[in-house]
Amino acid sequence: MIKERFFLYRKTFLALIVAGIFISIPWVTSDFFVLMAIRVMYFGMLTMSLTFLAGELGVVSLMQASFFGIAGYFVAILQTRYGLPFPFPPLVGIAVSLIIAGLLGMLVIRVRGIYFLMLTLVLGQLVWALASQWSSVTEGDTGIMNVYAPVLFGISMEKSKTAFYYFQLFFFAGATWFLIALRRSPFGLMLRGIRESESRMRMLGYPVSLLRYAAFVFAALVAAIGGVFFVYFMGLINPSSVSLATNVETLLAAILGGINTLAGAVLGTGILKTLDVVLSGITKRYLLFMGIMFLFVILFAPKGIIGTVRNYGRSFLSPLMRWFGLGED
Amino acid sequence: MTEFLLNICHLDAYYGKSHILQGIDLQVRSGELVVVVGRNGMGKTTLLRSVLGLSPVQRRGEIVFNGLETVKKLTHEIASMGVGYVPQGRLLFPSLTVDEHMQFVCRNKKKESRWTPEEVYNLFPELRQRARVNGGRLSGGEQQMLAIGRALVTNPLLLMMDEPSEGLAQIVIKRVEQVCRHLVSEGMAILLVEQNLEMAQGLADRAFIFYNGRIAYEAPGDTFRREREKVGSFLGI
Repeated sequence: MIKERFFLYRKTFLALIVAGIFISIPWVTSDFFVLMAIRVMYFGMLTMSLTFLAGELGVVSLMQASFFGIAGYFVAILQTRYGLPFPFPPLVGIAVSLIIAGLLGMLVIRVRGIYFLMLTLVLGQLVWALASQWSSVTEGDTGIMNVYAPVLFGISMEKSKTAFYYFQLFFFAGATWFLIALRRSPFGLMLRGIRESESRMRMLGYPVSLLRYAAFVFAALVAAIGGVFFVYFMGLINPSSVSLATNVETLLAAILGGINTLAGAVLGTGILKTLDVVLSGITKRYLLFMGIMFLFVILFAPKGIIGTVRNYGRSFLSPLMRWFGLGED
Repeated sequence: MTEFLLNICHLDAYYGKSHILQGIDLQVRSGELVVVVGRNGMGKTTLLRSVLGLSPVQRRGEIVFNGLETVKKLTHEIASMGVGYVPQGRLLFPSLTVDEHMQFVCRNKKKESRWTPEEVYNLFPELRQRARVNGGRLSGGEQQMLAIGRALVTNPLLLMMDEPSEGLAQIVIKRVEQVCRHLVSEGMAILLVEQNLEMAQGLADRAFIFYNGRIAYEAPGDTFRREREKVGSFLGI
């Protein structure tokens, strides 16, 4: 019992360190880094929603960007066209995104494996086609511009990127906590049971499909929150944010970091977005380098960075990880 | 007519085109231990799977549980009506710990329920020591206890056990027998499928022998214990 509580303290300690790093970013680094961190956080929420589904349900979705984009589009439309005041566009946007996830979820949750991938691909492309073709609502390929971040407590999130950073950090931390708490809750335990054997769960009286469905909607919620911050930060949204390219990039970020961990999702997104900026500044052929990098990751570190550190980094990292109570997870 | 907890009438069960159970009539009352014996492939396991509607069994007929018709219901609905199942081969979750098995399956926590994880640990003290061990790393006997415990914490009205003695040492079989008697004395109904004739005869309040998907023999426990030769002839002993 005492040992257990000690581990708990260490985990809190680790959480404090991580929180400290995130909170101190605007103080100790440059503006450029703050902007990068903002991008990494909202795309990170998108990637986390993918890795949550991959880790908890064992399925790969190619439509998480749709929920991200639908929320973003609704914020943009409600704000620029109907002039709704602040809390309403994001609330409605997230709600609509959840409703659509609820409707499409009934369809996709019935299938597994490659069929899930194909079905989400098709539905994701459908959302993209709507965004691109339904010009009267979405302004077509031009997209909707001039979306402004709100003013909160007298501070304009549009003018102060530091304020925006903290505003987003609050929700980013909330979304991360939400997914971790879900994982550890009885609900998360049931999902683990389903992953091991669906028929055994049925036999014990669990509505397997309903639980999977709920997980799908929860994942969409996190993606939708990311989408709101995306549109506030960029000030515009166009069909490329719900395109297949965005979905694939999300998947790549997840694979790079480690597909079934939340930390991997953020790490992978961070590396991918940084390389994106750095490499594209150096060479026009940066996609080629990205491709080669992925080749290496898939060949030599198929479990991603987090998975590889867990497997091979035992010698020097494992004492540290064990000290923090992160030995096996 | 007495009210039956489980009343199976004219049950036909199929795996695809093969007609496994043919016109089964079988009843279980509360607080009664009903034993089904028979050689391999006679449809005993299929009977239990039919009650729960586990795929790929297709059912036709009537299965009334606790006053409600269940043939059209889904497996998880039937299970949560109060049917606990201890499957053959235990079928635990290999990577979940003993404690996790108990915690997340535990149902009706709020009501004053008879079976909590704590109560199961009192029934099987061995499991308490192994609470943090994964299901896949338990000994056969411990696995069986956990499978029974996992079914108990759902607080079932009827416990269906499929060959609980399979692959267990004699001493563990005796434990399982004791537990069965204890549960029945508390008013639980048990539907036990067994190959182990000694255990079946020791426990039965009523017994059925399945032969090629039909009921070939039905008798109260005492008769079942007396008619050794007749019973043996059905089982090919």
